[in-house]
Amino acid sequence: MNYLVLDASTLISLAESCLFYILRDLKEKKGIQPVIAKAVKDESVSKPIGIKRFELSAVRVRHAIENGIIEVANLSSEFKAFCSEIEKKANSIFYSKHGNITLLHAGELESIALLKQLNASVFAVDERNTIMLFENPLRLRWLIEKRHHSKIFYNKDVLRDFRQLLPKATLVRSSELVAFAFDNGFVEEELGTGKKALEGALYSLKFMGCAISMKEISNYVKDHK
Amino acid sequence: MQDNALLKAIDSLKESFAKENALDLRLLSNELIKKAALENSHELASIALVAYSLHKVMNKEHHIRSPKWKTRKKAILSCIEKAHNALKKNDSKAFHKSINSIAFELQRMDRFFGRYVQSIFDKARVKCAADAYFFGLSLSQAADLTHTDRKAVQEYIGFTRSQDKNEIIEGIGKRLNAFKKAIGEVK
Repeated sequence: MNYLVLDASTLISLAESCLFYILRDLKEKKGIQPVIAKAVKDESVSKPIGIKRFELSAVRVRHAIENGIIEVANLSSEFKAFCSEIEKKANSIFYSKHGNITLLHAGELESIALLKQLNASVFAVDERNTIMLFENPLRLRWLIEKRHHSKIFYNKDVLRDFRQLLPKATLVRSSELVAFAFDNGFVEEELGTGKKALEGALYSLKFMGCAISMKEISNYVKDHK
Repeated sequence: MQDNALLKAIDSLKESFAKENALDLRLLSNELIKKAALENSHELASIALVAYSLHKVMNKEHHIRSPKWKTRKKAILSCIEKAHNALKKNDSKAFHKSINSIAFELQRMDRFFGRYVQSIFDKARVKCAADAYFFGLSLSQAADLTHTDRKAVQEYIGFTRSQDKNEIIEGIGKRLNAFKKAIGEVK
């Protein structure tokens, strides 16, 4: 079984853009099991279900959990400890003259710990800063420095330790999941197969907050066969 | 909690609001949320929210031309003064109570005049959280800083151009291939 650990950002992008059903198809047709941490369930169901504006998408996610399309996994005590360790490292990599910069929160941290617990090969996360912390932390530091117009320091040893702790997983966004679904015909019944369908789907994810640029979408759609 | 930066922030807030200077309030909010993101300071974030909300109020004619405006302004200034005193005494509970009182005043104004379902203060929470994200925090961390819903922040960010700055290096094609390899569809 291939586990696909989902961050709340990916769940939100898919649920809000009516492409949520691809998770069911990924599970039933490709044997990929979407799984979320408890903190992610809180962020995508428990908290927003009380807000009228987000009630429908929260219900959608809850329904998927109740039907087994998405599994909610609890961290074992070993991985709760791992989660605390990752938190200490992640939130002390960068610092300014005012002290450490707290970058990550419970949802992201539990998802990272869950990746390790399940030995999952794929982590779906839509938000830019978490992706950058995984893939290019020094670029994230550059970005923070640029935005703050002040020097941001980093602790080499902490960064090294953090990178060693990070599970080796492929990072994807909802855009890649939808592109995969598109190529496998999962969205054909609802959207057809043309480039407009693909483009429309990708833009809907972008406008729901997926970290993808217009240029990326345009290049991908242009080259898509 | 007493901190010269916090006291200075609340003094600036009081002064700008008393003078009804919308631009100063907006600039103050920008500066404070930037600091709040860097220092993970919920107190600074709260003051940023109030500054932003009040700048929005200043830009709405129907609020400031209302016969109730003077009374409302006086009430808000009184809450700001209470927040100031709470900071001086290191009383975190009283500080947050004062901020909540300001939010309540703004909600009262919204209920009477407002055209939108979402209140000025709630919109400020989302906007300031989006700014905190822009300054490098994760979505959850940014939403937590201003006590707002993560979904609202993510949706807000989706409509900005911040994702178009090409800061994520690998595009859809490469990631898709990596995904197929990870799930065993491609060797």
